[in-house]
Amino acid sequence: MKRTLAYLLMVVLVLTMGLSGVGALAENEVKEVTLSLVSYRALNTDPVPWYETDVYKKIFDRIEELYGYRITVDYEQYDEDKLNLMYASGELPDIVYFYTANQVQTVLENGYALNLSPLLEEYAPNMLDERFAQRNELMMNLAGGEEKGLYFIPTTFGTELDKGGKNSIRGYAVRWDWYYELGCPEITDDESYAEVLAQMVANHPTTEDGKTVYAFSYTDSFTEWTQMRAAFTYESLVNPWTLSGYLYSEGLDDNVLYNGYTNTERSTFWQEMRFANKLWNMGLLDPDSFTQTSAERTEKSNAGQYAGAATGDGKAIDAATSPDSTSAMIVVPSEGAMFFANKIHKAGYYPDQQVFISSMSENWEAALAWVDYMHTDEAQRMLFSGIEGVHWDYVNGVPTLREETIAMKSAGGDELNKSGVGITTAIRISQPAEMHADGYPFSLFESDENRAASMYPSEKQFSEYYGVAYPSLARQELYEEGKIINHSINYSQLTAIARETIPSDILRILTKCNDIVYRAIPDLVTAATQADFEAVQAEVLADLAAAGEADAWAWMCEAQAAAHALVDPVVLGE
Amino acid sequence: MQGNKAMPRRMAAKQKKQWSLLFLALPFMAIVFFMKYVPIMGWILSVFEYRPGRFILDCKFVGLKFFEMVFTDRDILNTFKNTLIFSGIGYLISPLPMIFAICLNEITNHRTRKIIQTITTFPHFISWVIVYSLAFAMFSHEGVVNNVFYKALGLFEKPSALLTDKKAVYIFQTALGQWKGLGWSSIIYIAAIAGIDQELYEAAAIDGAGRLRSAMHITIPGLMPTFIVLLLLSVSNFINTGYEQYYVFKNAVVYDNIEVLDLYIYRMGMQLGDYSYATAVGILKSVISVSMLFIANAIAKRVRGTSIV
Repeated sequence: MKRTLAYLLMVVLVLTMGLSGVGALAENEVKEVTLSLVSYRALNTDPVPWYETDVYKKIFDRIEELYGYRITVDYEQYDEDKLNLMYASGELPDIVYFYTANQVQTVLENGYALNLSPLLEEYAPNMLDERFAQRNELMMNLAGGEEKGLYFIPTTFGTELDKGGKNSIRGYAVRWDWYYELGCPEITDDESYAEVLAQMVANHPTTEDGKTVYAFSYTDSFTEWTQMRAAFTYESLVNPWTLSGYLYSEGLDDNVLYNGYTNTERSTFWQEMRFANKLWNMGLLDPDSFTQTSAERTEKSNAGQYAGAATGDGKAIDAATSPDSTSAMIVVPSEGAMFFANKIHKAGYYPDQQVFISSMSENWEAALAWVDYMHTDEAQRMLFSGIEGVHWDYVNGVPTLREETIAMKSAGGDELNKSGVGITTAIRISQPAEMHADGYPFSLFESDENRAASMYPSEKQFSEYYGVAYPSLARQELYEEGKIINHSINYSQLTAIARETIPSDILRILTKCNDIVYRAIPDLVTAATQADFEAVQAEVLADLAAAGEADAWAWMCEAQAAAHALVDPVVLGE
Repeated sequence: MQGNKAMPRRMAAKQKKQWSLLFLALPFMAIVFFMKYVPIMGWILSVFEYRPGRFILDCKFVGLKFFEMVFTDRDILNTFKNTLIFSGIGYLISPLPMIFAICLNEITNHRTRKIIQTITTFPHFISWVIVYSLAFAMFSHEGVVNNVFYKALGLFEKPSALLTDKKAVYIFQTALGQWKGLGWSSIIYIAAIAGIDQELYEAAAIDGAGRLRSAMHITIPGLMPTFIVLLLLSVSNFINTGYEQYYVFKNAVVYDNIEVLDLYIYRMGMQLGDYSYATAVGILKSVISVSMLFIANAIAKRVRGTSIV
């Protein structure tokens, strides 16, 4: 009897131990998941892939702790051609980071995206935070299909370029040391810009090693020749992302739709042609502009062969090759160009840059866990400022970057990329200037002090000259004086996601129109006289008419009006 | 009587052996079927307004709309013209690999011959993207050619701009194609030369023929069957110029002269997502190619008494 009891007790003991062991295992079980992710944009992958940076390793550790998934990433970058093929085949990865508003409707119509609405409460509670309520509602109303579901997660929600960032990124860019040497003459429009560039080239016709210096250059890129510089100057002042890739754009000051193909007065294309033609006839335009790639131009830019730049963020010269010089490109404070700053994006930086989880994904819980964690303050601070205790600390309750982190950020290069601090990633929910619950921005680099502390020599000299703490404040002053506008009243990108897909017939016409203007570029740029220019212009307008441009314009007006009917109550009704 | 019985048995054994040989060909037939014939089903796209991701039968049926569009598309005529010019020039210089092989064969130093052959074959393995980078480094405004011949030696009146020279496109692109492919294309002729009976050369030498005469009267006639077969085969590819080369070298200045049919189809289908229209153009291109092959075959049959189909 005693023996039987002892056996029984042993069995009970073993069973209890076993069961408690099983319970402990289940509780701590970590599921290893490989998530495939396709991104349209090149994410920083040197010297380690972006998902293996210190910051991302920590992010995945935290996801494992909080959600029970050990995530590894199978990442590929897709260009638009590959994305189209992917949609055509219907074989989608777990997570897609895509762009262009047209794809929103394609994804919706084909049921490629997982409807997150019914899953949020159980799987992604952070996405239901009050601060994302308006964003979620907008996305459900504008891109939620008939069910009004949440299919797309917009990236970089919140205020874009608080006070314009450290440097202005749109406007008239000049090589600072040569411009400073001239006494910083005023630039008010393309005309005065060309004249200033001409003077700079006259003073420096060749580089130190004898290479020819040009005022300006382009690459063989349609958008560069037709949109991106002129869009933010006062002559055109339109939003080039209204209908991405085509020349119908809304005014940044009035939200009125302008026809960039036929309205020769307010058109980025025609403005750019007049500017390039002027430079060409002055002998100042780089003759390789029609053929060179972006990499080839960067090489020349690094060699100091340009006095001006197509975009204002050309920091290649001193940041990459000569950190001690003042030869960087920098955007000057000008009344001729708008202030690219302080825009509140209610549904992301570009509402047409979205993340969605594939409806075919077998790992959607893990994918959603990842997306959900990225909505936390902890993850956002980590992305922009690094890991607490490694890159920054709370000092008397104030989150403070370590000195070595500031130095690392200023120096750039492999160490910074390896750390992953502030690098571009696919799932970046907020703008860097958005606030953490501690009352400080996610990006601690965005404080006035840190912007001022991380300036390059050209930026320091620029700031001293204009009497500001850091460069973009010079333009902020013009804005505050009411001399220039910023783009906060424009919401073309929001209407873009609410607009219907371009019908095939209209798409063909628009393609033809782009072909016509693209092929006319050399003749317009190299036209020797005003009469020659006008003759080519007349030919182009006739060709556009023959291609049926009027039909495309009629469709665009109608589609844009319908999109506005959806968006305006949300934006203007507040 | 026994002999009569044995005959069908032998024939049956032979037939059985033939069937087994045929059976060996099955995998290859399957490859051809699945890789070449099954994709033809994609032609169905040309009669639907295809939208990526949708089941084809859910798309709008448009009949021959896209084929009609081909005939009203102004750009097609231009691309067709460019294609014909590039192919025409290609045909005119088609004996070049043969001539090169003959010249190579005449080099008596084995080591030198191998070096030249390796150097000329190597560009075949370079991608067109790399070729473009090399061409840009050579022929751009600040490229090697201008730096040497314009800036340093002053031999040019103004900088050369081959990459943006509309008139030079056809010749320049053909020259690049030859630079890249000449060595590779000549391999088959080098192999054919090796197959020519050496006794013919010895006999010619005894008869007093020099190297030029030997080449003219032995090598060239010996290579002609190979040349003719390759020429006939290439007829079906007359409008298949490929698009990679033209894609990387296109720019706004030379666009009108460089866009060939294959590039146009790629642009319409892959870049602009107009799959249906691109398929219609592709079908018409295939029809023309097949027609040309049969015409060339018929001509060859009539002229030489042999054909390839």
